[in-house]
Amino acid sequence: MQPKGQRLRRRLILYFIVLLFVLLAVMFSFLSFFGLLTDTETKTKNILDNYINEFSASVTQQYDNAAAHGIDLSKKLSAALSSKLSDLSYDFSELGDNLDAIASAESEMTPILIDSLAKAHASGVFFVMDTSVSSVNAELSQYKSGLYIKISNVNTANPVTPQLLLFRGAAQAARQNSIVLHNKWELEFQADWFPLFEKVRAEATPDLASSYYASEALAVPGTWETASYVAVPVFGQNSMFYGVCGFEISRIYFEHSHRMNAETFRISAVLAKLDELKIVAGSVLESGLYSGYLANIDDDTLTMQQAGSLTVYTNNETSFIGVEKPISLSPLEDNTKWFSAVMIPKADYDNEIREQVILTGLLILLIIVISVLASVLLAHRYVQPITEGINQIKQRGVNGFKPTKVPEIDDLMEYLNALDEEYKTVGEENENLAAELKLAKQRELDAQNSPAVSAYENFLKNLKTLTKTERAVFNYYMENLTAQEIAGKMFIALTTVKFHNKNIYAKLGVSSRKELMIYVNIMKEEQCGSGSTVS
Amino acid sequence: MKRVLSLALCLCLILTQLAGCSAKEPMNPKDTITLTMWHVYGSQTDSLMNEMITEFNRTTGKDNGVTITVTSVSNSDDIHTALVASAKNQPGAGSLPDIFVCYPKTAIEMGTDLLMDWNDYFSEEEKSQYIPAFMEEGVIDDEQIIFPAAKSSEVMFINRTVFERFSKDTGVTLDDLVTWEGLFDASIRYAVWTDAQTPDVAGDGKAFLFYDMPFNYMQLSAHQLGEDLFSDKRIDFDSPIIKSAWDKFAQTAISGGINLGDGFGTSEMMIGETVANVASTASIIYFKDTVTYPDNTSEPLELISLPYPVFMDGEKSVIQRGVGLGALSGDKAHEEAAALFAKWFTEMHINTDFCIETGYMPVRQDAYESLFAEKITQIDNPEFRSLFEAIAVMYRDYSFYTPPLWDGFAKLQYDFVAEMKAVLLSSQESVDANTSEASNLAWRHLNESFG
Repeated sequence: MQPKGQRLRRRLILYFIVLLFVLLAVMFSFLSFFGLLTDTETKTKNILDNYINEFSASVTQQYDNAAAHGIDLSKKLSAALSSKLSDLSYDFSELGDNLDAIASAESEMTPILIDSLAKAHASGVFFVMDTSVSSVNAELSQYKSGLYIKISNVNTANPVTPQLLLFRGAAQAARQNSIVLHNKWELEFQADWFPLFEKVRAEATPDLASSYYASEALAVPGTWETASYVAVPVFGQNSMFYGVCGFEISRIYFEHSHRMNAETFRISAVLAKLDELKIVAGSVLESGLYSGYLANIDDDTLTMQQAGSLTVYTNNETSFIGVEKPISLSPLEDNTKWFSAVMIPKADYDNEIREQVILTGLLILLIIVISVLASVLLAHRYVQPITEGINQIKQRGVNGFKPTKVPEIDDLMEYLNALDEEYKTVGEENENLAAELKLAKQRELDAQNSPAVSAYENFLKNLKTLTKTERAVFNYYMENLTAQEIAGKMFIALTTVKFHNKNIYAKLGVSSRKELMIYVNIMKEEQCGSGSTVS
Repeated sequence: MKRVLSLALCLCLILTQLAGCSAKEPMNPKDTITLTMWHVYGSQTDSLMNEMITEFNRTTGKDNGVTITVTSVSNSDDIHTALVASAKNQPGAGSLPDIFVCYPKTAIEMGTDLLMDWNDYFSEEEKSQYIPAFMEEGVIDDEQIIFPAAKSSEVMFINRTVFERFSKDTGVTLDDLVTWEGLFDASIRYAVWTDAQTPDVAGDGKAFLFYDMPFNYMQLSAHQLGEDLFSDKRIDFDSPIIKSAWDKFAQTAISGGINLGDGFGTSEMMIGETVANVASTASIIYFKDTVTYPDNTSEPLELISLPYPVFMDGEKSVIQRGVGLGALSGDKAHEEAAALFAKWFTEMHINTDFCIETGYMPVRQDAYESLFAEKITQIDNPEFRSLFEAIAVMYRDYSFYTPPLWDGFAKLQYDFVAEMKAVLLSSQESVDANTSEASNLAWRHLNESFG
């Protein structure tokens, strides 16, 4: 017949599993509370925030440094050019079309530019003058004289021995200052590729600290390079506008300047101008651990979209996710605003989330599987002795019981065994009581003339040797109580009663309870006759 | 129970796999790696190499999870200095790029232990597709340390416009420039002719020739005349043949026929300071298309190329040069990515197209033969066609000389050229210099320093 209710083992497994879920819930609560179990977005945001703070500070310092040296350069060039004009007895306006004077001035100003470049930590230095060697030539009227010196070996942020190239300026300036001409050298600046000139001239005031301008990355004509410029106006005597000087920060120079040792993500750090939530990739400067993301895309306009605490930068081709921060690089600004951004490929971020979910899921699954297995195993081990005991009883009865080494079960089995023996004894006693009484009477009669009389006398005599407790147990036997009932009456264990039994048997010279009860009955009969009890 | 254990084991394995990838693991398309690269192709101009790298990143690189980012474009001298400084971890040097181009001599000075052996990523069959001489040039201690990407040689570029004016006045023809003797003679005559253009200014003659790497003249002149410039890793100053070749060069220089300035001839030609430039075939991309004069006026610079000059009684030989690809060893994924790029870049059509537009020679047999058999006729640009016609003549008639390799060779070369230019410039400035005597003096001075 199917037993009613849950089996013990199943019940135990269920208890264990409930306990497991409670423990898991508590563990996750603790991990969350102490911030050890943060989600990917928060973790990413925290890491990127650290990088953008470092990057923004580094960029601000670089442009601030370039501006400071630009202002210093402006003053030095102003003094040098004024001195040269004074020597030549020229006004600045008379310099135009004077080849020799311009070449000579450029040659003399070249060391100032080289010195300034070495101090400013930039990739190039320039001075565009508001004059030209060929202003009368209509075809060349858009040109401006000046100097532009570039470092060719920008493979670290600050090469120890910079190789200088003259990109713009008189060849005489290069020769006299041991500089090699750039492969794309031109004598003068073509105004249309150097829009900074007009922008700075339009807004320049002699207060240089409020008149400089930082440009986004522009293509350097004739080369593969792009570069950002910090441009400062140069004024001469009587606030005469001489031109614009400043420094070049090329894309590669920028990259080397702000390289990061990011181990967690493939980070790209970007300096860009924001135009209606759009970034034009070609005009940004990029660094970080993995730069070149934006340089290698076809569709170079990325739109920005908020995604939680992060920003997604995307175009038709690719997408990035990151954080941005407004940044101020120069007092003269146009409609667009500078900002720095630190971003990673969106695919990397999605992978991170996917891996996190899978990893957490698998971890929980693994814990559950292991815990369930452990619950089953523990329940099995726990219930095994009980089931084995039951099986033993089923197969061999309580008499054939072998100890299980589990005290509680062994106790139970001994109890059951004792109970069983008692039932048997009581049965036999009832059946044989009359015959025994009869036999006892017969023995009594016979004993008066037989050795048995002396055995009973010995029994009575030995009764006096029983201890107080043994006598108490004996008296309960006199009252026909079972061992179990005696244990209950005396508030002692069954095994203690049995212990007393053994002593009683030994002292009274009987070998079994049955024999004891014969003497007891004889005693009772005698007591009925005399009306007394053993005391 | 066993099934339960197997399940647990599988779960553990999955978890450890997810935990991350080790640096020793091979390339994985889903885990893009970025290689930094330094190269010399394009230097200060529009770089076709950069465009090709972008193309690689968009195609094969994207498919295989490889992005190459260029962090420096310079020339072979600057890249040599920077690579050696970085390899030796000198103060102020940047970290080495993952992949770069350089001469084998640079690899030796860097220490070849730092560099990967390309043999590990190319089968014998793949290697057999490349021109053996180009491969051999990059073998150091039985390892393929430098892999050929594009090879060059030397030719002579002439500013046709200016030369025709000179030719018209003096009768010197292009045929005279085929031999060293004719070239040196024309150079001296050009200095005199230009000086005469401005009778009111004395001593303003201009040099005809600029030799970018004059040490190659020392090696090739000896080789053409059947000598070896080196004897036991030192310059053989005792050879009368080498001395006579030196005298021809030195006397022309002292006479003002050879420009001894720093840098490259392309610069001098774009401001009209010289007419001829013996230079790498790859220099063609560095020439501007105009000559600009001090008043900012300009005239077209139309280039023609002549094969490398030969001594009248000398053997026709020319240098085999051109940097190759080197890559850092150590990380399997980065090595595989570098090999992927090398294979892509040397594919027949890609390599041929790159070479035709940059003045190099392709490195695989099929591309090399296709270029001279067929592609050369399809070149539209007359300057590039003239260049490849000169290269074809050399490919047909010349033997190719490969410079020797030993530790210190590069330094010897740079030091010798610097000293040579200094001593010849000093002689040039001496107005009444007896060119023969000055040449002897310079030779003795160099012997004391390098003999």
